[in-house]
Amino acid sequence: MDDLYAKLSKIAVIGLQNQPDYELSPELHTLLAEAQCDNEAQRLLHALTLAVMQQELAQLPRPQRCDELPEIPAEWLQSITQHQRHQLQALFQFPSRNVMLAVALWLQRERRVLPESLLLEYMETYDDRISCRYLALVASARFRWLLAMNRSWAGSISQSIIEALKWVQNPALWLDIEQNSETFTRWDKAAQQAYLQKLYRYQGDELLPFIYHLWQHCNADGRKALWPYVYSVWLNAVALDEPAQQWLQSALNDKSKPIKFAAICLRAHHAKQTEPDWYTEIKQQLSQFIDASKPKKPDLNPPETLSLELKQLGMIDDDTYGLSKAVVRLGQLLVLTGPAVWAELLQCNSVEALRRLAKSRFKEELEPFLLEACIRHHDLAALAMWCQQYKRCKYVKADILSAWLINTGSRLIPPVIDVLLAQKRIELLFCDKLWRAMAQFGLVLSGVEAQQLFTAMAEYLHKRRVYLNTGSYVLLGVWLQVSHDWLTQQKFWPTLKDKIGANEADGLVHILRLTK
Amino acid sequence: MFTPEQAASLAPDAGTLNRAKKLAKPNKFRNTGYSERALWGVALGSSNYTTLVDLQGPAYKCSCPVHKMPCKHALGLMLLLAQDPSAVTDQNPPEALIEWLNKRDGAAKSKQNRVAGEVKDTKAQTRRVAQRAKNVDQGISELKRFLEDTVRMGLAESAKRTEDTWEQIQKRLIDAQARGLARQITWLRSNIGRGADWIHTSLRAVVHLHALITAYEQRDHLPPELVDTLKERIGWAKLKEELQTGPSLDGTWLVLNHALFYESDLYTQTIWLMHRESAQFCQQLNFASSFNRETLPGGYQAGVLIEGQAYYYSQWLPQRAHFVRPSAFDHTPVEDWQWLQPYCQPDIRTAIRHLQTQRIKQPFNITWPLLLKDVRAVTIDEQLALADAHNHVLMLQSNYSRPWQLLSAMGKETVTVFGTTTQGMDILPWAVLGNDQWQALNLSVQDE
Repeated sequence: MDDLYAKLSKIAVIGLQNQPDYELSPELHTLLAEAQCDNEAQRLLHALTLAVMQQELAQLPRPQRCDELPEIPAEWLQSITQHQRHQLQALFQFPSRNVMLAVALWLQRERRVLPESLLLEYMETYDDRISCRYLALVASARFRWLLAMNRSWAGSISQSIIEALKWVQNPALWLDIEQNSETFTRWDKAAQQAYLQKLYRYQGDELLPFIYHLWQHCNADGRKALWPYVYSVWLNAVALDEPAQQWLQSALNDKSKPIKFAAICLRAHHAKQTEPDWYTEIKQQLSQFIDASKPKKPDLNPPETLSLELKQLGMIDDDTYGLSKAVVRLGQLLVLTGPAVWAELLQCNSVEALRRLAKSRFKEELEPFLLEACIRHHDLAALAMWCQQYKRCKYVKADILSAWLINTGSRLIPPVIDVLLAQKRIELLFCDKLWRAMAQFGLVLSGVEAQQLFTAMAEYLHKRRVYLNTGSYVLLGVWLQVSHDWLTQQKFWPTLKDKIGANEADGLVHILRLTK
Repeated sequence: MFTPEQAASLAPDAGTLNRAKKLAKPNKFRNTGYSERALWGVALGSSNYTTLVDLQGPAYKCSCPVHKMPCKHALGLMLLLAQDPSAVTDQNPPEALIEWLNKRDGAAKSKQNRVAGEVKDTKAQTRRVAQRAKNVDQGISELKRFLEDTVRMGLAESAKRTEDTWEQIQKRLIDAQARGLARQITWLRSNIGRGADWIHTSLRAVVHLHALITAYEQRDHLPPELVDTLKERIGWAKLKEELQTGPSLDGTWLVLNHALFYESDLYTQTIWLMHRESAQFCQQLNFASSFNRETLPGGYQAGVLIEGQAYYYSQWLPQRAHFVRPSAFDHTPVEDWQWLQPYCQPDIRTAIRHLQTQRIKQPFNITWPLLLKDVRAVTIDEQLALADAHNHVLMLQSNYSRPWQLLSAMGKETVTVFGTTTQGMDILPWAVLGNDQWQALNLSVQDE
């Protein structure tokens, strides 16, 4: 019958008109004669019907050689509990990238895996590159197994997550990719941060060779993105080894002026130990513009011209501050020298030196430079004083703080927390970048600290007309990790619910239940 | 009344459910209330919408402009009252509700009267029946000629036929009130000359059509139950109420899957059920136009047991049915899945042999349910397939677009799979039972 099927199907494909004289077996001939066909086409259709049906019905599965699926790799992250699974499902009520981000950050911090069923659901909502990079950090081994088997099966899976998984699984592979295509420099900042944040978890000795290598292949934007990571590792380094010296030399000769200036600041930070002569030279330069004859009330004389010496120190005339060129030059010099040099010059400690400079006649203009200097030279005591002392421009400061927190890593968190708690500068919380950065760096407050901070925040909200969006609250909840039971029993909870909206309050409770 | 989960199971899609959950707050509604029969309330927002829910059905009415039902307001109201029945603020049903329920009751009654044979004009009715039969006969003779032409010129040449030619025969069949045949022509048109296995696929479509119309022409010599089936396949629609006088099966059913497809303003809902006592399958196929704000039955959560009665469209082939439940909200989770094991086919070869026996008796049926136990996922030439302990294999249907979802559910485990097959050589998986969990697989539009 198989032969008949083959023969008839061939005729059906090429057409009866092209092969009118086909032969049938005598039995089929007799059978068709009984069917009283009107014409040859009908006769062929009858014959085909019998042949197709018989051919199909005769087919039964036979044992076949088939390939078993590869073994599923062991999961190195912890699985989530049933309770957490329910909470994650409930969080789908709040389709916001911040919610997803909070979930991914929390899972990452807890070293827990997002099961692939949930990951697939998330991906249907968040298929952009940045979200995928965060999701990829918590993807299960089973999910990677699934994709690794055959990419064509993953046709409807977001390409972003497949790409994101590449670098999560294998940074070396990613390095090769970046070397070849320089795609790193084309990533947006958040994607770069997500990746670099992952890198930050590496030990310095693992991270630095990788960054030195990458440094050579990046354009200026890429190098700027890499800078904070090498900077944060270096800031406390006592001596620079050979590769580090080479790298610093290349950074000092960088075509990008901001990088060059940052490298000079780093050089200056270590200069007292490594280059005492140059240290003296920059101190002298500074003394030309700060009259320290009355150290308690120093008089500032900003440089009227950009001298060759200043140029050699990386000073440039920068109009972006909207200040006079002379003040900008002085500001840059203050950033370069740092609080320790000011303190030597004014014969006091760095906190006092900062206070004195901040009371000088250019106090308002120099604010951003003084802050930047504290951060660049990692003077945490001066930084804490700064946050406490100056109430103006608070949002700007929170913004600058958060930007630097992101760039310098977790080392800056303790003074910021001190400021938030001890100095009650709760308004700093309302720059969501700040605590998002803290959440990213895995900061977890103790229960009491979290409750204090949350209460202070609620009271602040109560007194002022300040609103946060849902995502902000969700992230804040993750960061603070106050328990939802505690939260919902607080006196301020009804007011807070009204302020942020019932739906947003629900989102907050859900995320707190998840992180419980 | 009902639980929030039961209310949520009526959602037409995840997006509406999410939006409804956000609305399910006392401050989002006013004048809310409920009775044994209905819920009512006014949804507050940029505009206020009167929202009514008839729990018999359930059916929904909302003054919002959304066509998809239940809309977020109706679902939100249900969720609100399910979560907190004390959120009622108005004990008296509004006029609009009474009017709407009366209208619904009236429509249901007149439908029942029609079914019960209350025909106003019997002569006109006889004339209409005769005219319909004549129209169908005419359509069939045109289709016969079309099929003859197809084999005369050959399938390869037919694949090059102009769009007009295909559309013409489709329109003719629709005019002849033979929509079932027109649908099959659409299917043939979309498969001829396309895909690796197009010759066999197209041949099967051609011979299936030929067999169907040849059998219909011989209807005077066939049993009435089979003629009924043929007529249904050709396009004689039966009213759901009409079915309630035919063959039925009552009892506890396992919901095997619940899938929803959307195309060109039309929702198609496919639900497969299995009778717990007899292992008889039942397929619900429901359609709803989003434009006309039609609603689909809700409350079918895959992997739970429900009570109800299946009224089969055909006595000859008890598969597709209209399913009636005493309540859309009642269901029982399955604690122990051991009871299902005796109903599963022990291996692929046995399952297909059983299927082929059925196909000989029912050559006009296209889709067959399969419940297979102890199968695992394997690959053959990089294509995903299901294999049993003897390495008998069923390939996945070539248009199945989410194999990763199946793999995610199966892993490397040996599991029970529910799926459908067209000829016993491949399978479209709908659900997986592994580790005592029933996991429904979401299918996209092109899978069906």
